[in-house]
Amino acid sequence: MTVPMPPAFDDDVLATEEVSQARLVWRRFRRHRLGLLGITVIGLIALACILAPWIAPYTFDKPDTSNIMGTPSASHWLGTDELGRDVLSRLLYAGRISLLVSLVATLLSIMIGVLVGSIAAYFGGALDTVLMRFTDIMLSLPSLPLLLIFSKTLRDFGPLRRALGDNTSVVIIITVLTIFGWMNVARLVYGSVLSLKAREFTEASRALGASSFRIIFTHLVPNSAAPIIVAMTLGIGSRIIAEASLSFLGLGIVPPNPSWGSMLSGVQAYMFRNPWLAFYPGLTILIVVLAINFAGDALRDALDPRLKN
Amino acid sequence: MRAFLLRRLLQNAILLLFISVIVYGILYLVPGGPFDQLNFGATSATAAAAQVKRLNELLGLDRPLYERYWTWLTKALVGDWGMSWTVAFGQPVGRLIESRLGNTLLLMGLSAVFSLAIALPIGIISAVRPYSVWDYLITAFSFFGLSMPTFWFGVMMLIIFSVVLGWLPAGGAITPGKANDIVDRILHLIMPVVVLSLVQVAGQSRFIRSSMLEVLKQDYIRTARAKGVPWARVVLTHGLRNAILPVITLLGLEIPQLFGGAIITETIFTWPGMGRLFFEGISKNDWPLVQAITMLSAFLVVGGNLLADLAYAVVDPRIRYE
Repeated sequence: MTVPMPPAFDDDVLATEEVSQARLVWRRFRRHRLGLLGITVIGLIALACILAPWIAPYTFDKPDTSNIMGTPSASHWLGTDELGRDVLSRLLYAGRISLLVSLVATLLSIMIGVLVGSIAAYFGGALDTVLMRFTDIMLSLPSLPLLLIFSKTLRDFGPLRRALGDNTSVVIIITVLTIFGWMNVARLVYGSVLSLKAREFTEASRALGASSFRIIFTHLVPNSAAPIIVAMTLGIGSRIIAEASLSFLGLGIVPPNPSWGSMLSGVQAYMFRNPWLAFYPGLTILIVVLAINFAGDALRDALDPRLKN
Repeated sequence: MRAFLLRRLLQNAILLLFISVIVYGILYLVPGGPFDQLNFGATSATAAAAQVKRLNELLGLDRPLYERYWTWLTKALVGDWGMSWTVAFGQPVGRLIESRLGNTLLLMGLSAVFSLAIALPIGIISAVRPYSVWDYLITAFSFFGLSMPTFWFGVMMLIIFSVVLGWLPAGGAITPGKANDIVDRILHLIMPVVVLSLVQVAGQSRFIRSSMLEVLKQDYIRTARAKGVPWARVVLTHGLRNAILPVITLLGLEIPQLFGGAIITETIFTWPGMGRLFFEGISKNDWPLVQAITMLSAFLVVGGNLLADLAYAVVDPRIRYE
C-alpha cells in the first residue's frame, strides 16, 4: 500500500528509492569479492558441464586405442586415461552427474528436513518428541559405514537394477545421501519455527482462521528461508565430496556413467604411469567445492547480517 | 549425577540396539547372500541352486529373519560375533577385529592429538588478532581444508612423497623384517595421520576461533586486564580455559567423522586397520564382519559422546547433570 507523501515533505531529502529485499541481499552479496568469484566459477563450470554434449571435444566413452594414458597434447588438452578416453571430455560429462546428484540429494534433504522440523516444532507434544528424538538418533549414527552398507546392498538388489538399468547407481546414491542428509536442516528449521510460532503474526494468522498447514507453509517456513538457503548452498558442496568419496571407493557412481569421484576410483593402479590422471578430477572437485563454500559464506552475510559467525 | 549416568547408559543401550536392528535388517533383508554370485562349477542352474540352498542351511540363512537376529544378538552380547564368510573364511570375526583394532586406534588417536595440536594455536592466533593477515591466511587455509576431498589429498600425497620423491613408504604399517624399527613405523604413520587430520584441523580451528572470540569479549577478561595481568597470560589461562570447554564436546562429536575418515585413509594407504577390514568386508559381502565393525564404531560414537559429556562436567563446575 502506498501512502501519498504529505506535501510538506515533498523534497528529495526524504524521498528514497524503494528497495526490494532481493536487491538488498544482492547489494550486500556484491561486496563479497570471494563470493562473487565463487558464484562466477560455479556458473561457468556448471554451464560447461550442461553443454558437454555440444562443447566436449570427444564423447566420454570413446576410446582412442593409439593414445592410452597420453600426456596433455593439442588433441587431448588434459591427456587420456587408461582406455584412451579424453580426460577433459570425461570431466565435463562427469560434472553433469556429480552436480545433478548433489543438487537433487540436497533438495530432497531440504524438503524432508523442512517437513520434519516444522511439523515437530509447530505441533509440539508427542509428535515433537518422536520426530526430534529420531532426528537425534540419525545424527548420532556413524554415517559413512552405513552409507557404504546401504549403497552396497541396494546395488546387489537385482530387481532395482533391472528396473533402472544404467542409472541404478545414480538413483541409489541420491537415495542414500538423502536418507543421511536431512537431519541438520530439520534441527535448523525446528529452532526457527519454534521461535516464530510464538510471534504475533502467527497468532494473527490463526485468529483469521488460517489452517495449520497454511500457517506453516506460507508464514513459518518462508520466514526461516535465510538459514535454509545457506544450508542448501553449503550442503551441495559437502554432497559433492560425499558422492566423490563413495564413488572413489567404488560404491557410488559406476560405469558407464562417469562422475568426478568415479574417475579417481582405482586410479592408484595408474599413478606410477600417469600421475596427471589422478590430478584433474580431484582439482575440479576442490575448485567447485571451494567456490560453493565462498558463495555460501557470502550468501550468509548477505541474507542476514546477524547470522555472522 | 548417578541418575544422569544411569539414564544415559540406558539411552545408549537402546540406541545401540536400534542400530543393530537397522544394520541387521539392511544386510539380510536385501536378497543376495554370500553365495548368490557363485555357481561352484555346477553345470546347471538347478545344481548350483541346490548347492546354495545347502550352504544357506549350514549357515542358518534359511531361518526366519527375527530368529536369526535373536541368535546373533544373544551371541554378540557375550562377545561371539560369528565367523567371517569371505574375507578370512571361517575365522572368528572377533579375533579378526582384535588384530586390527590397535592399528586403527593408534591412527585415530594420533590424528586427534595432531589435529588439536595444530588447530589450538592457530585458532587462538586467529581470535587474538581477528582480521589480521594471519587470521585471513588461517581462514583461507581452513576453507581449503573443508573443501578438499580427503581421499584425493591422500592420493596426491602418495604421488608426491612416495612415487615422485620416494621419501615415504607407499602403504602398510611396517616394512617386512623391520618389525621393531621405530623410525620405520613413524615413517609409515606420517601420511595417514596427516591426511586424517587435515579436515579436522580446518573445522576445529574455526571452532576454537569463534569460541575464543566469544570468551575474550567477557567481563572477566577485562577485569583480569585491569588488574594488570599480562595479555599473554590472560589469553592463555583466563581465556583458553573457558574457550576450550566446547571443544571437548566437539571432539566427542567428531568421532564418527574420524572413523569414516579412517575407512578412506586406511584404504588409500593400505593401513592394516579396522577401516580397511570393513571396506574389504563390504566389497566381499562378508556380513558378519560388516555387522560387527559397524556395531563397534557405533559403540565408539555413543561412548565418545558420553565421555565428552562427563569430561565437560569434570572441567566445568558450572555444569550439573541431574
